[in-house]
Amino acid sequence: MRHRRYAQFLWAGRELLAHPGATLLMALSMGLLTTMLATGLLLSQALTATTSRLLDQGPDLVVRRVTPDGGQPISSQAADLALKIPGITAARPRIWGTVPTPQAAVTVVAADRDALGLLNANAAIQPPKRGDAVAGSGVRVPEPDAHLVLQGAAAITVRVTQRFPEETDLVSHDLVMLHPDDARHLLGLAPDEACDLALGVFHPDEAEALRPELARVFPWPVHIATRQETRKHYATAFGRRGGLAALLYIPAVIALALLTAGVIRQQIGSRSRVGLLKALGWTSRDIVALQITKAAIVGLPAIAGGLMLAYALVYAPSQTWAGMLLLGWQETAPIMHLDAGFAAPVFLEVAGILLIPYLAAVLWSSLLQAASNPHDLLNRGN
Amino acid sequence: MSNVLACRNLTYAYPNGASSATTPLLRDIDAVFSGGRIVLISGQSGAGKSTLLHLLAGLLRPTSGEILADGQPVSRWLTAHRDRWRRRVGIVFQQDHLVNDLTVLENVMLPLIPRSGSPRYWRESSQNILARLNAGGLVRQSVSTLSGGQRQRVATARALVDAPDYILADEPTAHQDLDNAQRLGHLLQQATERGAVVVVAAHDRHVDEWLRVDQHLLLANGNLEPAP
Amino acid sequence: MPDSPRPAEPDRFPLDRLVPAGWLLGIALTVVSLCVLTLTYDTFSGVFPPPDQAAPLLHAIGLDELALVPSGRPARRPVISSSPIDWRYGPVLPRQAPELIPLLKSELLATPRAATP
Repeated sequence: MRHRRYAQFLWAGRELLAHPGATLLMALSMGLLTTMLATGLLLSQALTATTSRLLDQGPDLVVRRVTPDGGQPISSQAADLALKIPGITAARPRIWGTVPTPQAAVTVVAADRDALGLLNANAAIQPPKRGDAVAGSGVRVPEPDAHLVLQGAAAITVRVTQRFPEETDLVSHDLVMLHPDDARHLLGLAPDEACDLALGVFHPDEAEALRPELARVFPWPVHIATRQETRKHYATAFGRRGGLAALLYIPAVIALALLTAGVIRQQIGSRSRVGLLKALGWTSRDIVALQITKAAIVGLPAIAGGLMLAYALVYAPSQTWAGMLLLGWQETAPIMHLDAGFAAPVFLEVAGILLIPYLAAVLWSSLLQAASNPHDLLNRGN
Repeated sequence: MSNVLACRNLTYAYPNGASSATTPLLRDIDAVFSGGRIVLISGQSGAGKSTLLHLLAGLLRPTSGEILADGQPVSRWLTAHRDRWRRRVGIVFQQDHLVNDLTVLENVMLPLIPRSGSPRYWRESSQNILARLNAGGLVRQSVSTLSGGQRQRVATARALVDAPDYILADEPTAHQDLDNAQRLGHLLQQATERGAVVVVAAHDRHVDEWLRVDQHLLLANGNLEPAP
Repeated sequence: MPDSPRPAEPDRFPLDRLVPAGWLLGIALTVVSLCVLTLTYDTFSGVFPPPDQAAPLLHAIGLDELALVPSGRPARRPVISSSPIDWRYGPVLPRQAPELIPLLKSELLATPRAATP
């Protein structure tokens, strides 16, 4: 029985070789279609999961002082006010912002010596001295003197003495870390001011409940953002970007419809062949099995190859195309070190979307033919 | 065990294009073709010899009447059962219906593929039957380069490769020389020795030079009668 | 007309193409197997991820935004894109638009008074 199955597969392969061009074209079409769909889905899923995991390391709450004109610096003593609230375990004044450089805008942040000291040896960053900076891989400086001009409330020039590791690109690609005094000078902050306050809570689920209390403890109006909101923003953003995968569905569905129509047309073109096989003793079941086997020999490896290509595109080392094409980067883009573990559901979903209509088209058209009168089928081909 | 193929009140009519009325081609044919005998059916062109063979092979359904194989009404069976029964039939078409996409050997092995065996068995059986029909040297040629006679020999080999119980041959030697025709006649004779039903349709007047006929029937005006 | 014997041809034409068909099946099976291996690798990577450096750095710098979108774009800062407050003129970015009230009071946009009888 196993022998017979292998023989049937072998014959199906032989029939495919009778039309190598058409077979290859079909396989390539299916493969490319698969790659399009799978890349969009996989990228979307990986980005969402990675951002969610990374943001778990960020603050639970961020407090910003608001005025009718927008944001305002917050007093560093506000941290003490926040720590009085039960449930708030940490309060960290932040000095950071977005400033332009001659090449592009960058995000600057003041170094926190204590926090940097907690990084392990592999990722150790030395806090910069005054006039020095640690920059991400996307911050371009004119070599060889490696000076960077930053224009904020005041203009400063710093020397890039360290680079963040490339493995941290998703966080640090266009980040510049400065000495706190340099940062304040650049952003126009007084010695007792900060841009906002980052808070840690005892339990993440408490964050939402603490907002009213926080709003009451400060003497001025504040805007409080939770990690949940930030995470939701990224999920929505990449859902929209992953929604590019949804946009890909439209041409993909059209392409799939054309492919299926091509398959049916090809089947119809082989009517006399089916009639001959029936006359030679092939049953309808044999003919349908042959057609399905041929379709599977083309479709399964094509889809498998497309899925692997999609996986390579998303998870290739030093992958930057997603940033360049989808996220708005111009000259350099962050290397996407994305979380793995999502391939299985995506692979199954894409394989199902493509394989089911394809095999259904083959099955339907071959069932129709196999049930036809062999005499008519033979003569129709003449 | 001997096989038997029979027609009972067999009538077949092609639809008439001018109106919905049908023009009977075969009318009320009663005939029995027993295994171990060679039956020749002759008649003028257009008499319906090919149609009769196609009906016997189950490729067509009769307008009325029935076809019986070993007493079973195969013409009334469902398509799936008839297809399976057709594995016991070897039919040589008037048009060879060879597949140009396949090699000579692959054309011959077509009937074997869904049934049983391994690729080696397919190759060996096909080469064997081709050699017996003096077509062994054709295996290295493309089907599209074969002459009419060569194509017919390959098609005949295809029909006989699986030693069928019912052999229906429609003008099998139309393009053959006497030597090749006699080889075919010898093979058909061997088939009868194992109990196969052999029905040959031909209007060649020199059939007896290559075929030992046990029964000669004439198809004329839709009726099948013993030849004078 | 009897067939004339054809001249002998070199053995260039294959008897059948079952051997290449076997190769085709082998290629197909290999590709599918590689895909299964990729899935396995991905699942393994998901369960046993390599040590990460980005997350500890984010914690060390204390920010709540990632470098996925270029700095200065609204999508980079969730608070800008999702908040009803206009954060564009906060302390971290220079003011760009002119003051609205003096502009309204200027002669350029002065509303003509209706003629009095």
